[in-house]
Amino acid sequence: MIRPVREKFPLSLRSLRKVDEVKRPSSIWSRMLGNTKFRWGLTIFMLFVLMAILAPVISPYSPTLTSFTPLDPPSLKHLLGTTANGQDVLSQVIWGTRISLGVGVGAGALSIVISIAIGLLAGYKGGLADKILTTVTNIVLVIPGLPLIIVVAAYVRATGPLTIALVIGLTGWAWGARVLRSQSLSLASRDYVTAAKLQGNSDAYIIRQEILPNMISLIVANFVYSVLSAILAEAALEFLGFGNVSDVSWGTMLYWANNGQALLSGAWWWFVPPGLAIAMVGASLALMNYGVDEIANPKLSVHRKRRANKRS
Amino acid sequence: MINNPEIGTHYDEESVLEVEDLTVTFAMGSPWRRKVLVPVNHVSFSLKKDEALGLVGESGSGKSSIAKALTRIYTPTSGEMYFHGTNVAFIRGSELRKYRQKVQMVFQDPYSALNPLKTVHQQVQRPLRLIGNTQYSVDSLLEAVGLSRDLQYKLPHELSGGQRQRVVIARAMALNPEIIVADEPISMLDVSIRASILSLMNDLRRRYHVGYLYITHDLASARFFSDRIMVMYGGHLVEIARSAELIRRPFHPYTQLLLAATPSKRQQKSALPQTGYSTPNLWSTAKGCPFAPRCLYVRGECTINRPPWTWVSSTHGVACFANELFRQPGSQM
Repeated sequence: MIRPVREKFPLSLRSLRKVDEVKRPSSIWSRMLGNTKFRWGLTIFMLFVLMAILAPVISPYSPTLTSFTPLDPPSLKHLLGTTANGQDVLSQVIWGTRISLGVGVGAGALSIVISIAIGLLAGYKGGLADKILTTVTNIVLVIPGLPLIIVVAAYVRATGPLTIALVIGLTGWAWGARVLRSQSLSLASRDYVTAAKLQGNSDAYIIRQEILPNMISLIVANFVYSVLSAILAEAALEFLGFGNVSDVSWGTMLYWANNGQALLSGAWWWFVPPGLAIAMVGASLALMNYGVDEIANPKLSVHRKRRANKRS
Repeated sequence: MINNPEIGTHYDEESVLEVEDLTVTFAMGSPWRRKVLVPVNHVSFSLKKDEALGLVGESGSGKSSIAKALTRIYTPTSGEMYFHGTNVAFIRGSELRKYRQKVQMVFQDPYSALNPLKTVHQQVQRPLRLIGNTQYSVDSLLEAVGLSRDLQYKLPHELSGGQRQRVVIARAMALNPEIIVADEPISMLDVSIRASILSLMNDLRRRYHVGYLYITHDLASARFFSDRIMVMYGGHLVEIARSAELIRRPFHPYTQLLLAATPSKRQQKSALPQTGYSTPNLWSTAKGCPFAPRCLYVRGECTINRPPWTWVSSTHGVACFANELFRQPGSQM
């Protein structure tokens, strides 16, 4: 489609006007909020966070109360029905958000911290430190994740949310460390890092001030990704019964639904809500991840812009 | 031994930096099939106070490796570098920090030389704070490099290449350096502003008494900017002389080739004075003169022994076996 010539004129006027304005560089956060995918992802995620915080206020019953009619389908009294043990599903989903999100964010935070420490040290220091850290990272990387978590979780006696978060966090950092290492390797060879070295800045200052801020989008993307995989791993572990099955979380709900033969008895209201919640949180995190990716790598959004131009 | 009246003593009142037999090597390949690359091969020279010393050579001649060795980004494999009489080739820790602050660098690519997330003010202020320099302020430094102070809260992407290069120079000057190693500072700038950056650097030399090692592949700008010019080829220093002298009477066949390849008003109709286009062999196994495969005056010993260093005059030295070239200066042009 040929764009009308007329359109070019106001465009150039607009750009002329821009010269007078003081152009403030948009910060990384405002750019992220300007991204549709990121905004949607963040909105959905924040809804779940609100749900976790307000659980005592919004949940109709106690999640551990077993005094209701078992396997009652959804009704006005129990919006999402009841379990075979006579618990309210809605209350369980709402309360389960706490553990599921808590373990996910905690494990994600732990693994991103390890990733940053190992990746930056290896990429910036180079040499022997790099060789050792890269080897360790590669070894952790080739160990299949979930089986390792299962083995560790099975050996640790006191399995609670904290243990599970620790296990997931301590096993899930390798991919992030690898990505951050290669990025800091590239940043460390930039001339402005050389200049900072020549000024006599300490290594800590250079890493903190010159390298880290320039990879913040990558770090956010990796954090979001590790939270996502931590939530999925946590649900998987608890579904398999390696968590504390008396805790209320989405994973244990699925575990009990499976044990209580929810599928056989057609009690869809028992396993669909926690499954959907996991899927929604996963989707929100994936959306945020794509959004950050588009900002960090502008080439990805070129295609979209071109399509938008065509439409206008 | 090199017979060098300029380098003979380790401490010369005039010299700020004396480099002797500087060698930089890189180990390549796997540990069991180790190959060693020698980008800087036994190079000696000295830099006098406030002097602009040009370093000319083609890609891969070792220019940038010398720059990185002088600023101690690379640690030399062997050799000595005397900075005010102290050997700084292998110092570490706080000594190295102090030395580096005296030897600053201006980079080729002004786009990667500034942190994209920091304002001009932040980038220039950091070195001032670091050494507690109260002599200058960000304002005075920006003024010294010809930038308006309105620019100080801008980010690098809002500046042009020339403006960025001025910020880089201001940032280097903030530490009050004695030497600035300028690694092709104008080769990535628009042609129209190259001369102004060179004049700025020249101006700073006069005002703040800073010496330059000016690295370039362009003989014309080296002649415009520097007092003396060194020519490197394949990691070897092949010739050194005062700028005008080097242009008028080049002795080394490679310098002659460089001059013949420089566009000038006189049309160069004849073929360039060389016998091939091969790139120099930089492996540690290479013997003799690196230029031998392309040299018009090549002889048997050129491929076996390293050419001796000859001081033709007190300021004009050359590393070549073909000493008949020195007796009939300039005739091969």
